[in-house]
Amino acid sequence: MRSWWPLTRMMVMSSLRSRVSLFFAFAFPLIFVFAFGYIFGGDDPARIRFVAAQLFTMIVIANGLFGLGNLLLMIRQKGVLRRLYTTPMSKHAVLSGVLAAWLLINSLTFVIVLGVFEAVFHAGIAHRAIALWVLFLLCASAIAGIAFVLASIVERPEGLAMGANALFFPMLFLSGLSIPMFFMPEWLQRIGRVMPSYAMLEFFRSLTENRPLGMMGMIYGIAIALVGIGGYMAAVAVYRWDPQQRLGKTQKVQLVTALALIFVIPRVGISLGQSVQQLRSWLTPRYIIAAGHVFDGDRVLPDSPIYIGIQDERIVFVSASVPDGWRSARIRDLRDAWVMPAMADLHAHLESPVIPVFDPTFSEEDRLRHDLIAGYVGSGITTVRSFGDDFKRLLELREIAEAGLRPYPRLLISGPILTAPGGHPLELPVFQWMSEEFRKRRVVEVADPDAARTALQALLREFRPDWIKIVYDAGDPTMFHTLPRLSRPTLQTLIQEAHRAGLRVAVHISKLEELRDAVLFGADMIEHIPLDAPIDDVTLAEMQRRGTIVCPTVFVIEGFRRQWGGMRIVDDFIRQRLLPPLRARLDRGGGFRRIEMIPEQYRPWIRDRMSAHVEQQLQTAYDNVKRLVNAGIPLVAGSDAGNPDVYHGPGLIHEVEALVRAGVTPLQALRAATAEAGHVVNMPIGRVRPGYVADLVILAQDPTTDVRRLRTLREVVYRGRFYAVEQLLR
Amino acid sequence: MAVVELHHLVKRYGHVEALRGMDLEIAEGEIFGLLGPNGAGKTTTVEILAGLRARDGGDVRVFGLDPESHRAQLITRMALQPQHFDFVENVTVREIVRLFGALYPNAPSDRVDRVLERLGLSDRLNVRFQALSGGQRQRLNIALTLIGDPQLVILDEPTTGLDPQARQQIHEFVREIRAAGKTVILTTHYLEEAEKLCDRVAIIDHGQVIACDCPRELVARFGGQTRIEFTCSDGDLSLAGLPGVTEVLREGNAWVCWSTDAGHTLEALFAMARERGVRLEQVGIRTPTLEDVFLQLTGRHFRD
Repeated sequence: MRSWWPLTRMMVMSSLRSRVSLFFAFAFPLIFVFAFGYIFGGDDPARIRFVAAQLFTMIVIANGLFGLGNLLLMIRQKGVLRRLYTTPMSKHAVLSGVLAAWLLINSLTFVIVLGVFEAVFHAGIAHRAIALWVLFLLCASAIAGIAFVLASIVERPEGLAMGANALFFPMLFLSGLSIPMFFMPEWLQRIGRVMPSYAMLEFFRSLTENRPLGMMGMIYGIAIALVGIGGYMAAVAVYRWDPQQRLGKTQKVQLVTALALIFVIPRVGISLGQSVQQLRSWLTPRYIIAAGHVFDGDRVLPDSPIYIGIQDERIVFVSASVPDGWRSARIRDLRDAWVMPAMADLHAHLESPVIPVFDPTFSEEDRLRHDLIAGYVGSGITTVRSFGDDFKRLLELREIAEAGLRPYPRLLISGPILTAPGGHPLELPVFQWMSEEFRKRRVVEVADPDAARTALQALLREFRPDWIKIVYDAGDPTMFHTLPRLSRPTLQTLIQEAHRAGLRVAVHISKLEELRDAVLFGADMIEHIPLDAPIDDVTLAEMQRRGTIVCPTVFVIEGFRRQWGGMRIVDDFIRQRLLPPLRARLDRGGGFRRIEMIPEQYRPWIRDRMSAHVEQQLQTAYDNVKRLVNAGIPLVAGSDAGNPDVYHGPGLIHEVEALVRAGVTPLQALRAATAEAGHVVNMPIGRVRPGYVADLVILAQDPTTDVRRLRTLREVVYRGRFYAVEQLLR
Repeated sequence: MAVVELHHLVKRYGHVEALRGMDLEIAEGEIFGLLGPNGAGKTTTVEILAGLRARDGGDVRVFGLDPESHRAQLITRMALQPQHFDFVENVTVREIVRLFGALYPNAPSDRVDRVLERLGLSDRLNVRFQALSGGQRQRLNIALTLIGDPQLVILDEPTTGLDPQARQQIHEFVREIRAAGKTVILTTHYLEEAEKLCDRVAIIDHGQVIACDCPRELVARFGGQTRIEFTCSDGDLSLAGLPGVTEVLREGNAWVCWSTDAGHTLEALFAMARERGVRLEQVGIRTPTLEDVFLQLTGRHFRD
């Protein structure tokens, strides 16, 4: 079998020495790359990535059907195959040799095309080069199978051209390779989805557009591989080396049928996969919750019990009686419980551990994954917005969650925090001992408006965040703690450019003048509230006019008082949700205290000075919360988890309690964590209402009169599945 | 030991019967020729021998095995040089030879170089296939057949299209192959080639073996008689009485006679001429060839 390598080498050299062959293998595809790139891609990296996926697919298919088909036909018609038949070379060796040569030539084409996309169009897909290359070769092999069979059916180059065109043009136009599929009517789309080119394009897109592969990607890959295997088996079966041997009519019919079947395999594979997915959702059948009392995100529903119908991860009905058609569904009896929508934490730093531990038995990754399930979902929070975390890692977690493999909460990912050079949060100790590489993924420093544009473009090349987080904070001048801050033009440019790219902006502030600037420049959301002065009516009016939203993070502001006072919070609710080694550490007195950074002998003096100041700040904060509420500015709950004492998960419960301490009613505080949060991030979460996701918290006691009762949760429903709290805490 | 045995071999292409019951036996170590006009069935026969074609009837044994069912075992022991040889463009002779060499890992390593040198291709190693002349391609074709050192070498029209000098070289080469102990089967439509090169010749016509023996025997048995012609001014010659003469023709001064024993006839003719004092001019002697054999056996000229 080692005879295939000399054949491969020979065929590759022959192609490289032929001008015609060089043109069609390299120059011709490049013409399309440049044409498509300039005409359809323009300057938008997202569009270029889509075009890249289209072109990779198109090139692999065209090269295969026309190039390889002709190659095989040529060596048969010339009698080369016949000559080889008089030697010990087996047909497997011949086919493998030709296929190997084909894959080598295609690899060259791939490298050149990828190079042009990167160098000329800045597509930003080079980091996936290996995966793209493997996919390219997989598709080339699949098409080779089809080309081999086609070449065996026909006798002359004209016949091959006809067959290749008959296969190529439907694929080109119907499966989204040239015209996006959503342009076409549904019945045409259905035809398009049958073809192997559809599976190939979708798989390429998931790589170029950084979309999670999930189950569908796996299914596409298997479908394509099946096409290749089927094609190769058919090619071996119909291997024809004799140019004079004519196929009988029945044989031709059999071959055309085989070709059609190979063509349709992807559809079979995809349908199979979809059936499997449907089976999985069928295994979580519909059911009804009979709830004693329901807080629907906005108000307490008057009736009792309330029946909530759930099917396929969504709420289908919410009413005092069971509708027709649901009589046979299972009922989960929760008439002794309170049901409310699961909550959302809109301000979290997932990668910042509250208790850092250097322990060889578990890693930061383990801690993060544990906190997502035990901390967040285990506290009734099923949506989290992350600021300043590595988006790659979070995207992986999101994929895993969407594939249903692990109940991580829904993640809104904003990627790195944009701040001034040396600005917050870079002054924090944790950033001092981080490597440059590590830091760049979490914080991006922007010096001026031009740098702002560059930074945003660079970020958008890599992925599309849900929100952009900007820090506009000059520190606390009264305590001699100043920080570099973005200049006003830079802030304005950042917000403008983000809006132009279709993104929404959250801006961290700490002072009134910073709030004003952010609001005036059009920030969609303000994180934290001014600690130095009450918000004036003019600013409030402006916020009302623009619909600015605020995430006050009261609990972390209360934390300053605890910090300088040397106090810490230890309660069972938190303890149960920590990894055992961290729990032990907490019990022994772990956790960061700012006061402990000061030498022992100065502590009393600092404590006295600071306590008055932070008390003043806190009162201002409480006051501002009330002002915002009275002005009707929407408030949402965000814990700022990752800060000292703000644990991932329990921190949000503490935030809801802190909002109440600031003067917000319990109902308003609950709304901030549920309905208001869902409304602000534009997702169907945070309400018990038909059409919304089936994310619910089952509580033993009524949280609407005392939010501390949020700690009495017994079960959590996430994506329509029940989880007992004990189960999640493990 | 018989290397090849054919019993009543039949092959049809559609309604046309290309082979109508061929019977042959080829012994080890001989150069065996299949001679016949175009379309006689020579190529079909050797292709069936080599396992390239399926037969429709009859029995074929090569080294005792059926080439259709035992192709794998036979493929290393025999090699076929096909009549037409075309290859992928833009590959050099060296690359082609390397490919074929890799298919026979058991062949001695210097075999390739020796074969190429013997066939005069050593200085053509870097020439691309399309730049080779017809003769060079044919020699390459033969070289590729011999790379595997097969025990049975089948050559289908090896010298067609070659100039006489090249043809001589091939003949020398074929004799060398025989000297090395191999068996050679070759097809040809060159009568002189069959006569001079082959140990035994089978004359094929319309899918059947019409005669099979060594060329000398064939000529002796079927070749007919030697033709002697001359011009003589003396009209009174009587040739009929000369030994071996069977027929005499005369037109003016031109005399033609056929003899079964040319030696004795000429002796007597020259004696008669000396005796009569006449001069024989433009004396021509034509010994029978396989052409005559063919004509005798089929009633047609070979080139018809």
